[in-house]
Amino acid sequence: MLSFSTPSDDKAVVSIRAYDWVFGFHPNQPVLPYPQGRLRRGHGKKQARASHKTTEGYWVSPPTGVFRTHTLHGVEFFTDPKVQACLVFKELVEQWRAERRATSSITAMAMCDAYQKIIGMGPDAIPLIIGQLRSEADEPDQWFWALQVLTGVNPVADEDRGDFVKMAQSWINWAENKENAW
Amino acid sequence: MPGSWKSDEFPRLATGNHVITSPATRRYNCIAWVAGEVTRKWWPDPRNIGWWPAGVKRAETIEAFVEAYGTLGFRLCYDGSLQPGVEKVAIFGIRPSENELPIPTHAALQLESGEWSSKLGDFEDISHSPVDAVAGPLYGTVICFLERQRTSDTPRVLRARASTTF
Repeated sequence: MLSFSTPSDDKAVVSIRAYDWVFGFHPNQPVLPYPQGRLRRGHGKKQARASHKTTEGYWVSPPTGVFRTHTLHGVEFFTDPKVQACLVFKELVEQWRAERRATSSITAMAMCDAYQKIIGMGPDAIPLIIGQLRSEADEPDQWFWALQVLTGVNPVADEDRGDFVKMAQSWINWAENKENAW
Repeated sequence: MPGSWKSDEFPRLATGNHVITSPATRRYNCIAWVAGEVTRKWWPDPRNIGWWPAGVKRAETIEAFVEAYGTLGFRLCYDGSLQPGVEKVAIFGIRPSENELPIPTHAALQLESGEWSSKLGDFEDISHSPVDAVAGPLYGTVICFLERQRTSDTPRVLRARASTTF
């Protein structure tokens, strides 16, 4: 089959959106659902046409630079390093939320494996976290521990501690002032 | 309506012993909820992320939590029985090992009805009875109870949340 085990259009859009969310525009080339099943036997023409149509919309020009494959929800993608980091980050966010369960402890949340892996991504994670904070609007999550560790600063005023909305805004403002840094 | 939590997190929560009273939110946590706050999280983390009462040691110990609620007039008491005119708080904790002191995990507030109100992490608020309906692998058990005189100001947070539709 030349289709994917999961709805390929939906999953491909996930990646496109991920890129869009980080960089603010659609990529010229990077995110292509890899036609993993192309070499398998028994591909029907109808399915092949459907898959071609799926990839056509995303493959605007040939890839340049270093590309890697990344499997997300059972679908393999060609990605460039920035998209790769974005996809890894989104996966870790999902893992973190599942891992921390109903804990109220800010410390316990930060000690989760997935959260530590996000910190382990290094400076590459900073714009991803800031983007995540922006996307969470008035329900920001606990990204402040990671941001403190990764940046070495804390732009939050003492009186705003614990108020995640104000804390998120402080970090977003800080990032906007540093926007040329990444 | 089912809550956002997984059943294995709170094995004692059953259909008949709790009611969801407000939608899930990350704006506050259980410690803040018991203190009457719905716009910020209370927690004595080492990175000063959570809010914590001034002058109270930032330590994840039962003692520090008792002291923090002490700033609101709560004092240690014997049990969680319902007493007219008295508002009680239960502090939950887990012992990392038998020889270690319990680490605070959760707090619940006793309502005038005798039921208890809990905010479950970043999930929903619930009313539950008995108090240890939320005990289990995540929150451990009740370590101590606190009490103070119930005042007209006490249910302010409940009124604030009651106006929320979900």
